[in-house]
Amino acid sequence: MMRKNRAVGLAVLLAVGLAACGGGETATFAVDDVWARSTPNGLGAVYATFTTDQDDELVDAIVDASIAAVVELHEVINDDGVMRMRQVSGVPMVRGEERLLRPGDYHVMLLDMPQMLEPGETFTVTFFFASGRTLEAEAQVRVIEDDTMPHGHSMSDHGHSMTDADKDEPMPHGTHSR
Amino acid sequence: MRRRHVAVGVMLILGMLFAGCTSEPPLNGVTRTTPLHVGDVALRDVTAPNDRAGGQVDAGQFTFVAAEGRFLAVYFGFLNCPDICPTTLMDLKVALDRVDTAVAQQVDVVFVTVDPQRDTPDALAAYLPYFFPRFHALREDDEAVLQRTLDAFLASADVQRDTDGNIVDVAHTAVLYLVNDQGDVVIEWPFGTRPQMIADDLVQLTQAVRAVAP
Repeated sequence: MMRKNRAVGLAVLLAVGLAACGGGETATFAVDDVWARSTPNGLGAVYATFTTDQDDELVDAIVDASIAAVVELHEVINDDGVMRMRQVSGVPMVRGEERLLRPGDYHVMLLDMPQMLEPGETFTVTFFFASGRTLEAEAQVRVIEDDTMPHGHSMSDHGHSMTDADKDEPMPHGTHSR
Repeated sequence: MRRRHVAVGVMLILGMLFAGCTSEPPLNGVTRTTPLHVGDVALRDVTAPNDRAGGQVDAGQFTFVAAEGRFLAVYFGFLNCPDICPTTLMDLKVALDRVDTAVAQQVDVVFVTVDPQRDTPDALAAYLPYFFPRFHALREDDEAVLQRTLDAFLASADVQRDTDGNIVDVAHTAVLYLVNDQGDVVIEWPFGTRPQMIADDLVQLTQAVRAVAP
């Protein structure tokens, strides 16, 4: 009896320890800072910050047809300052790590938009994952990335949240100096 | 990664040294010891007269030289671009909105389409006013002429077509250039430079010009 209690105690301790190792609060399945923008010719993009509690993959997203008739996942490849966009089948996510959908990186592309999005308006986006789970969020229409956020997700904020070494090489070409 | 840290460290030290020499903070964009000279190239200007910003247009050809004491903000892009191009155009718009009117009025915006097949003059005229009240829309069908211009900016663009000739992909240098009245590129802002960083550079560069003006 005594031994069993001790074993349970040990298991509880281990569980607490593992939870702490896993990064605790970051290992949640969530989406934050969802925003979107469109252009006068019926194109747009949705950006967001994801965290996930297991390795997963964003495989699809939908919005109401009044916002866009077609939704695709895209990534931008930055080859020494030359940018190229391509459609992808999924956006990989690693447990406990932030995955940013942001300008110049992965994003949800909106096509055949019947009207332009007005800054300040919101619309619902549903994200679908390879695990079968979904996340739903309200996207806020903005003209630029929020550059007042203290933890800045932008590329030129000296890379607090930089995960891809290629993405913050600002030198497009040649030799530069100050 | 290690090399980049060293490079950043060296730049920081250099930056601090130079900052000690002048009262101006270092610029955020990229500058070169020998500036790119782009004043010898010209492209076809398709801007309607009512939309047209300042700058040299002669017989429908726009030369990359700013009017005296002014600057051109030059971007190579295409309209069928939902992410990169609107990001930079909007970053520039927000930067111009944030600076004093006097500063903003010293800058003429130039958009060069690298996808002239799809970006007709009408399409450009419908798109650009969303970002800027006045601009130059440059559209050149002659690939060799467009290439010569890209070369002058050390930029590149590549329109890929499928076997049916449909455009499937456009790659382009995503840099915003500022050109002075000598036809020299005075600063380059890589993709992702924040609007406030562009605005701060514009204030500094335009003040420098005003300071030497008679």
